[in-house]
Amino acid sequence: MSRLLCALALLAAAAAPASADAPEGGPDTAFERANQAYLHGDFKGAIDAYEQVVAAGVVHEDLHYNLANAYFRADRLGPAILHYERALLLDPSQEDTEANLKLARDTAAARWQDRLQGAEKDPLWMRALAPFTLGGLTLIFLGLYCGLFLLALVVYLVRPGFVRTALGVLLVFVGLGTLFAGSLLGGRWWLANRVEQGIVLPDELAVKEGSGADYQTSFLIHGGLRLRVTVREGEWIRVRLANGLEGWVRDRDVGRL
Amino acid sequence: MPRARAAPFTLALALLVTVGSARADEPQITSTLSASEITLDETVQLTVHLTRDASQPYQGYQRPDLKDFDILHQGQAESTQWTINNGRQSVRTVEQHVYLLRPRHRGNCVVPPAVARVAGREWKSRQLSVLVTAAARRPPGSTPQPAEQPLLDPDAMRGDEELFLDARADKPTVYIGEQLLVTWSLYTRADILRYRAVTEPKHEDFWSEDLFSPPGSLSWTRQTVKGQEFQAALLLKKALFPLRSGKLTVTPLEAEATTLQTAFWAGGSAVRASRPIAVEVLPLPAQGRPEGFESANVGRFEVAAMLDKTQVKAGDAVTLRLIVRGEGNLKNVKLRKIERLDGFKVYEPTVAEHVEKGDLVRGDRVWSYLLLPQKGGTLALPSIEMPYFDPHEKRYAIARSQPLTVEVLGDPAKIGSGPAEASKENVLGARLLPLRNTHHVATRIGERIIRGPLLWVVVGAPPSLLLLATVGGALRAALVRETARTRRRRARAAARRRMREAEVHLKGQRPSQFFGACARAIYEHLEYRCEVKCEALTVDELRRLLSGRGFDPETTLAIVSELEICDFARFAPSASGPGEMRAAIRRVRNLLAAIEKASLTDEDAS
Repeated sequence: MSRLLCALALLAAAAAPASADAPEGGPDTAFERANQAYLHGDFKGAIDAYEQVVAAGVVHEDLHYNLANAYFRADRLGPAILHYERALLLDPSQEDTEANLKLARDTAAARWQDRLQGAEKDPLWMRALAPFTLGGLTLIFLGLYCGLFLLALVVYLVRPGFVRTALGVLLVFVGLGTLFAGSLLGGRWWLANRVEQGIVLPDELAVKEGSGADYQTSFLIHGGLRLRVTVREGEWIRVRLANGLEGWVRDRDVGRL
Repeated sequence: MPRARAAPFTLALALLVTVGSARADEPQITSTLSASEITLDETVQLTVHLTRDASQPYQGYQRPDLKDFDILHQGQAESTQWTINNGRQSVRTVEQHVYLLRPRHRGNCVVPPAVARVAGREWKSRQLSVLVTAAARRPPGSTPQPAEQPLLDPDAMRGDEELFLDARADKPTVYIGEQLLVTWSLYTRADILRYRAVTEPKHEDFWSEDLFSPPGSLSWTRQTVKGQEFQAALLLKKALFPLRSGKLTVTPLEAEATTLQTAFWAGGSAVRASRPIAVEVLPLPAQGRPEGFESANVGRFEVAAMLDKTQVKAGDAVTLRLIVRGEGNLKNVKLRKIERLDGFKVYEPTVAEHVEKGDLVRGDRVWSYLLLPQKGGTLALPSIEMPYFDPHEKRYAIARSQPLTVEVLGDPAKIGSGPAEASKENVLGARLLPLRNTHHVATRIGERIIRGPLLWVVVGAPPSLLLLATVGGALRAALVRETARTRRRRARAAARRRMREAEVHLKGQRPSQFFGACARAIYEHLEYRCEVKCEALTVDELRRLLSGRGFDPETTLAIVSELEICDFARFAPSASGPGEMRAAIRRVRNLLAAIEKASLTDEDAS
């Protein structure tokens, strides 16, 4: 099994997209540099270094957590909330992330509060999938999937008899498990890639009636608010709030989860 | 000293110690006054100390019945003392009751004893008295409260109205900061069904205190005005304190009244407005203005100071209350802030006020300072002064509190900064949790797979491998399966192999092996056609088999003959020369071709 994982890791490493923005000295060096900058109070320097690691294509909950802390200390609550949310998507079991996210939201609420009248909760399937991570589900599904075919091959090769019958029953169960894991993975993937969710980054953002700065402002929203992206038109995106309110904002003002 | 003479002395000493310790266990209650002689407009502080053994049952304390005084303020403090007397530890409780008193009359004002009931017995303090002399000026607190004034004849009446509003001020001229009482009243000869204010009066140059506004329904009184019967109701009453000098105006009150229709009066709504009120506001005189005078301090005031404790242990704090009581704009009254006091650390004060609203605004305002003694012994608190302007007397005056003292037991310097500082809170609220000090951050394998093309490789690999295995197996099975064609091909290959072997033996002049190879070629080819091992058969059996399978007689004869020649030649090799062997190989080739071409009867069935 370990050989298989090593092989997968090697394949994954080979398959990982090479980034043109690789930080100097590698991601680990840049991450360490960012940590040191943070610990010495240079939050802007820390943010720059962490963002280099993110731009290099590294996806890791600790990276997003530390980056969120740096944004929080730099008094940029919108990006801080975004990165805490990203860290929780990668590992929902992190208590420190939850605590800091709550602190960031409370701090934001003390300055501004967007009270959405008639806000609706996310659909049940979205809430049911929230505790699962994309990476974890991928590994579970692929493990079951490969096991299913391996078992099918063994069943094919074994002579008819008790062992073959027992393996056949096991094959059915593994098949059902694979199907279930595949459904979860599909749903989670859909949620991550097709249901585009974002967090408002600036402290205050004017939502326009149309996709242009010269259109009139429809309403104001504030940093840290979660919304959904429905349409893209150049550098403008149409967003929808939890209560159905819609409007246009610049793409760069919304961080994707 | 001889023993006989020393014994009574020792006994007396023991008795004295016993009595002394018994007296120390008894409760003690004492009353003290801050002054023995005051004027009628001054205050005096009464302090009652009650010390008792904490282990004794305590039934309570009874305040002196102070018939000759008004109690302006009262406070209470309690502390505990541990003492060791003759090796015996005792805990004593000390209660301190403090009263700020103002005499009600001149002459001898008596403070009766305070009473405490401890262990079923009553303990009383001494009776005290204060000599009260005439006041130097009229005490502000004793100003008679104006009774509810009856509504006066409105001077604005024309004489022909059925409904009108009247506004009046109690004075035409006031000083800056002096109270002006303004009332608005409604007069009607019809019954009012409903009333509402359309425009409230504006008074931007005044500080305002609302003294009366109708609680919901109007309260009516019957009045005769210029010989006519009216119903009159008070609508508004305000105390206004001018903020600047000059001719100031209060704008009219505009109200709508709906009258009830009767046999005598037609019903309907009417809007009426009162007259504006003009007041002449005089500036405060510059002459005689004392140093430190605050322009908001206009009225009649007195200042009192009191401490919650007059005796404290080192490290304990005391509370000094400065009370300004009197008539005037109390919410604006200012008292010079105490920045420092010799021997004390002074903390920021808290301010509270209590305002009574009759026709005059009066009450008190209290500044509470927390003082932390910085040295031991008796510390003095000086008199606090408040200059003010009395508009009735048209002169400035200074209200003063009495000086106070505090006895500090022990030396605060020896016990550090004291509990006031030690009790500073270190508030630890929600804080940002620290960084994660990870040394290696790399995208986890699951994330890499799902975000890259590897997912499709991994998903596609198992079914592809299974498909390949299946196809390979099928191919292999197809290759292994035996058909007539494959058998013919294999038989031909075997025959060719035997013929090459025979040619080798021919070249090597080995007749025995040559004929052996020829015979095996014929037998193997027959076996391929007949699917029977022919080598073990006798000549007759072979002949019958070949005939039975449909070989024509010439071919059968040729086969049998050739096999007999081969057998003979294998066992008598010397009889066969090269020419014979070459002829034999040609015959065998022809025979093999004949065997293959022969159409057998049951070939397909077999």
